[in-house]
Amino acid sequence: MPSRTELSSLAADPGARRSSNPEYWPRFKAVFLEAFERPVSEQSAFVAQACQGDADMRDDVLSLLASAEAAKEFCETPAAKVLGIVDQDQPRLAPGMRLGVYEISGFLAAGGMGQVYRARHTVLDRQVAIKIVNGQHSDEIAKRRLIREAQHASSLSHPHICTIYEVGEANGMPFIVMKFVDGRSLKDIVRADLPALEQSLRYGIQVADALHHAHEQGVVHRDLKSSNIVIDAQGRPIVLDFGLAKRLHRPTEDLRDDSTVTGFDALAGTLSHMAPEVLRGDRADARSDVWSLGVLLFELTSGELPFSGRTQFETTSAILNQPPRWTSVDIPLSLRLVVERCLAKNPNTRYQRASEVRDALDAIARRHAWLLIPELLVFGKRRSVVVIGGSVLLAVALLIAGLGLRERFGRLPIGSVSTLAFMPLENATGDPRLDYYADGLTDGLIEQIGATIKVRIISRTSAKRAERSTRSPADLARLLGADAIVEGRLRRVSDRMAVDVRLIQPNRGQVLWSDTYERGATQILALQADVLRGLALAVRLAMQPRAADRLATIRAVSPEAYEEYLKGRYEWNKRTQQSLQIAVNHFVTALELDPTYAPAHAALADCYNLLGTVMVGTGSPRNFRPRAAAEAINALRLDPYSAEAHAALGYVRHYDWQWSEAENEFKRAIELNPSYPLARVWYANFLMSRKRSKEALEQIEMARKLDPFSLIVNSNVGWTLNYVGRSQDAITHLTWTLQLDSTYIQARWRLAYALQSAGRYREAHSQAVQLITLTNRSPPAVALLASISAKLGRKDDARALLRELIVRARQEYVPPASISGVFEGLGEIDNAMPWIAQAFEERSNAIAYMNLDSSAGPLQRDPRFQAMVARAGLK
Amino acid sequence: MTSTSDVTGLLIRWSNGDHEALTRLLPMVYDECRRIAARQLRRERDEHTLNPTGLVHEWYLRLVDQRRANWKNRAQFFGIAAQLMRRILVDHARSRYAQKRDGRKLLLSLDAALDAPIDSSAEGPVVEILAIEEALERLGEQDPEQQRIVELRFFAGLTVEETAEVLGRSPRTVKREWQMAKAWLHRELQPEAPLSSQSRPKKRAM
Repeated sequence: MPSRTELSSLAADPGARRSSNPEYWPRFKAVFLEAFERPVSEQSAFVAQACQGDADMRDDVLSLLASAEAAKEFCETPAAKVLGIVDQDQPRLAPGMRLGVYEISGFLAAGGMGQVYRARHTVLDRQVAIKIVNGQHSDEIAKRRLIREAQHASSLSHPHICTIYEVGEANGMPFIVMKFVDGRSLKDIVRADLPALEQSLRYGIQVADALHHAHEQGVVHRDLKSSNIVIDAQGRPIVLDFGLAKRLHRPTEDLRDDSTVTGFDALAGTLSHMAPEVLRGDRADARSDVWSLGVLLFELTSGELPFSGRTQFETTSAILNQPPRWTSVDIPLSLRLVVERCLAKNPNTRYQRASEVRDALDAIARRHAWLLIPELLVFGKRRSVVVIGGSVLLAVALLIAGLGLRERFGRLPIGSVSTLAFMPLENATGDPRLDYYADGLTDGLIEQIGATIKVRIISRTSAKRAERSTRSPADLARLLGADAIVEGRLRRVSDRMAVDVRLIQPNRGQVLWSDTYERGATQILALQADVLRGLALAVRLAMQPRAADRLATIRAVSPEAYEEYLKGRYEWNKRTQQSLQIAVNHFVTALELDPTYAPAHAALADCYNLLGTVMVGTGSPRNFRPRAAAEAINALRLDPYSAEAHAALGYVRHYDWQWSEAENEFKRAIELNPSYPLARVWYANFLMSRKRSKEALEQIEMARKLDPFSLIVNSNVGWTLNYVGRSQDAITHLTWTLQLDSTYIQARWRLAYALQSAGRYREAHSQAVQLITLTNRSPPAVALLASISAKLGRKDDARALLRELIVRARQEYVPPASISGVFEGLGEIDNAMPWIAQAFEERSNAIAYMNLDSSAGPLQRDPRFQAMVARAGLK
Repeated sequence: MTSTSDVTGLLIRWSNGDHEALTRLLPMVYDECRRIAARQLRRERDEHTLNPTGLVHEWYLRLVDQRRANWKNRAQFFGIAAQLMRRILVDHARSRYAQKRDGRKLLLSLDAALDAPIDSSAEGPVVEILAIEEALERLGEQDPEQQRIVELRFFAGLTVEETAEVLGRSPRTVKREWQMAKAWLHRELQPEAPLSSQSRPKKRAM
C-alpha cells in the first residue's frame, strides 16, 4: 500500500467539486466500505478498478483506507473518559509496599468501591485482605464513607460473613483490613461446573441466613452477587464486601451525611443484579437484597442470569418488565416458585425477609429426597408403580393413573406444536381478589386459542392440577401430553393490566418465545387478542379459518361487565344448583352493563340448559330451555363465530329431539373451536343417545385429551363408558375422578349409576346415601336412593322415599322422570305412566337417553308408552 | 423536576410525527441531563461505579416513565441523550479551554461542580475533543448517520451493539460505518492538509 506521503504527493486538488457534488459521497462510501472488507493486499487494485478512472476518488479512498489503519484506537475511549471526568483508574499499590504494619503481597480484585489487595500482618504474620477506597483519598467524604462502611460491617458477626479486623489509615490513605478467605468465588465455581442441587440449596440457605443477620443489624448488602461470595476451604460460602452497605436506620446518623448517601448511591451496584426499584432510583432496602438473592439462586441452579441482554438497555428492560428467563428444565417447581417470588418486580409481593427465603429453601432441601421418588415413578415403567404414602406421591400416582388411560403422543419438533398446555396465569398483582380474574383471563385465552390456532389445548383446570403435583416443565408436559407449555402472569400497573407470556419447549426447557402485553383494564379482550397474535406467530401455526375475522370482532368490553362474566363462569364451573343460580345473577348483571356482550349471552344459555336438567335442575326444562335457546341465538346474532353459543344451541336442540339441527350445531361449534371440550362432551351425549356408541366414545375421548383432569369431562367419560355397556371401566374411571375431588357431585352420581348397571347395588346404595347428604336431599338424589332400594328388595324404604317425593312435588320442582323411574323400579307401571307422560311433555333430558324400544322392558311394552313415543315423533 | 410523564408524553407525541414536541423536549431534557451529569460527575470524585453509558442510562431511567416506555421510546431517547451528552461534553471542554486560555476560572455552560481543576495534562484531551467536534460537524453534512454513530459511540459511550439497537441497524453495519467515520475524522485531524473527500476549513473556530 502506498504511504501517506506518496499519496499526498499524488494529490490533485480534491477541492470543492466533491463537496458540491451530492453524488460523490455515496459512491465514495460504497467503494470504501467494499474495499475495507477486503484483504489489504487486494485493496489498491480493487479501488482502482471500482473508481473507473476517477483518480480523485481513488486517491481519496486509498487515503481513507490508510487512515482507517491508523485510526484503530482513535475515538475508542469515550469522550467523558478522555476528558478525565469519569472512570478514573486509580494507581494500584505495588507488592512490597507497606501500609502501617501490613505489607502488600498482591492485587486481588477491584470491587464496587475500591480495590482489594492481599497483604501480610508483619507482626502477627497473618494473611489478610485489605480494601482501599477509590478516588482521591484526601477527600473527606470518601474517607468518612469508608470508615462508616467498615463500622457497619464490623458490627456483623456471622459464620458466613467475612470478618472485619480493623480500619486503618496510613499516609492519609484509609483502608479496611479483613479476613483473607482462601477459596474460589461462587461465580467461578458456577461457571466451571454447576453445583448439585442439594449443594446449591445449602449455599442459598447459608447466604440467606447471612443476609438475615445483616438486615437484623440494619445493614443492607446492596451488591450481593456470586462474585462477592467465596467458598472457603471448608466449603462454606462467605459473603464478602458489604462494601456498598448502608445503614437501614440508625438514629445517630447525621442528616447531611444521610442525604449524601441517598443522593449519590442511586445507581451503585451491579446492573444485572439490581432490583427494579433500585434501577428506578428508589432506596435499596432488605427486599432489594432479597431480589439479589433470587438472582443468585437462579444463577446457582441454572448457571445463567435471570435477566440479561446483549446490551444494558436489554438488561434493564428485562429487569423492569420481563419474567425471569428460565432455560433449564432440571429445577424443581418448588424451587422455581421460591426464586420467582424473590424476583417479584414489586418489592411488596416479594419475600419481605431473607429469613423467609432461608426457611423456604430449607423446606425444599428437606423434601427434596421425597421429590426424587415421583420422578422415578414418572419416568419408570408405569406397571411397576407402587403406591407409596405421602400427599405429593399420592397426587403423582393419581396423575399416573390418569396417564395410563391415554396413549402416548409423539413428540413434534418446534414449529409444529400440536398440543399446548396453557398454564394458569399467575396472579402477580399482589391482590388475591384478582385470582378469579387471572383464571378467567386464562380461560378466555384458552377459548380463543382453540378458536384461533390449530392446536389442541389443555385446559387450565387440568394444567393446574398437574402443576400442583409436579416439578419441572418437562414433567408437566409429559403428564399433560403437551409439546409446548405456555405460562404467564398477570400484573396490574396502576389502571392497566399487563400479561407476561412465554412459550416453553419442555424437553429442552428452552424458552421459545416471550413477550409482554399491556392494555388498559377496559381493553382486556384486546389484550387477549394481542397475546394470541403473538402466540400464533410464535408457534408458527396456521390460523384456523376465520381466525382473522374472530380477532377483528374482539372489541372492548367494560371491565365491570367482564368481571361479572368471569365471576359467573367461576360459579358455573362448580355445577351445583346454588352455584348455577349465582352464575345466572352474574351474567345478567354483565348484560345489564353491556347488553351486546356475546359471551355473557352464551354463558347464560349454558346456565339455563343446566338448570333444566334432572340432576342439578331447579325447574322444568319447559321453562328453562326456551330461555336457553333465546340466549344462544342472541349470542349468535352478536357473534356468529361463537363456539360456545353454537354448542349451547346444539344442547337445546338435542333435548328438543331436533336431531339433525342439534348435530349441525355441535359440528359447527367443534369446527369453530376444536379445543372447546364441552362441545365434544355434549356432542358425545348426543351421539350416545342416538346409539352411535363408537362416535360418542371418540368425541368423549377428544374432550378428555383436551381437558384430562376436568371433573365434568371425566364424569361424562364415565357416563359414556357406562352407557355403551362398559360399566366396569366406567366404575374405575369415576372412582379415579372422585380421587381428584371427592366432593364432586356429578361424578358420584354417575358412579352410582354405573354400580347399578354392574349389579353392585349395595355399593350403589352407599353412593346414593352420600349424594343425599351432598345435595341437601335434592329430589333426584332421593329418587336415586329409592330406585336402588327397590333393586335391593327394600321396597318399604323405596315407597317411603317415593311418598316424600310426591309430597314435595306439590311444593317444589321434582323432575317427573325421577318419580316415574322409582315406580318403574318397583314394577308399578300404571303408577309410572302419568309421570312419564309429564316427562315427555316437558321434554325432560332423561327421555333422550331412554331406551324407547318396545322389547326393552315392561314400561316400553306398554301401548300407552309407545303412543307417547309416537306422539313425540320419536319413532 | 421535569416529570417523567411529561417527557414520555412528548416522546410519544414526537414519534407520532409531532415535531413541535421535540422542540419542547430538548430544552426540558437538557436541563435535567445537565443536573444529573453534574451530580454524577461530582460523585465520580470518590468512586467509579459509573461509566458514560451508565450516565445516559440513568438519564433514561430518571426522565422517562418506565411504565409507558417501550423500546421505540428508548431508542428515541438514547438518540436525544447522545446529542445532549455531546453538547454537554463539548460545552465542558470549551469552558475548560477558555479557562486555560484566559488563565482564570470561568463558569460557562455547566454547573460549577462539573468543572474539574485544570492541569497541564488536561489541555491535550480538551483540544482533541474540540477538534473532533468540529470535524464531526463537517462529517454530518456528508453523512448524518455516521455523525449519529459517532455521537452514540464516542460521546454517549455506547457499545456497537447498543448503538445498533438505538439506530435499528445491524451491529455489523454499525461497526463498518463506525470504522469509516473514525478513519474520516482521524484524517481530518491530521496536521498536514490531507486528501479529502471534502474541503476543510484551514482555521479552527474555537
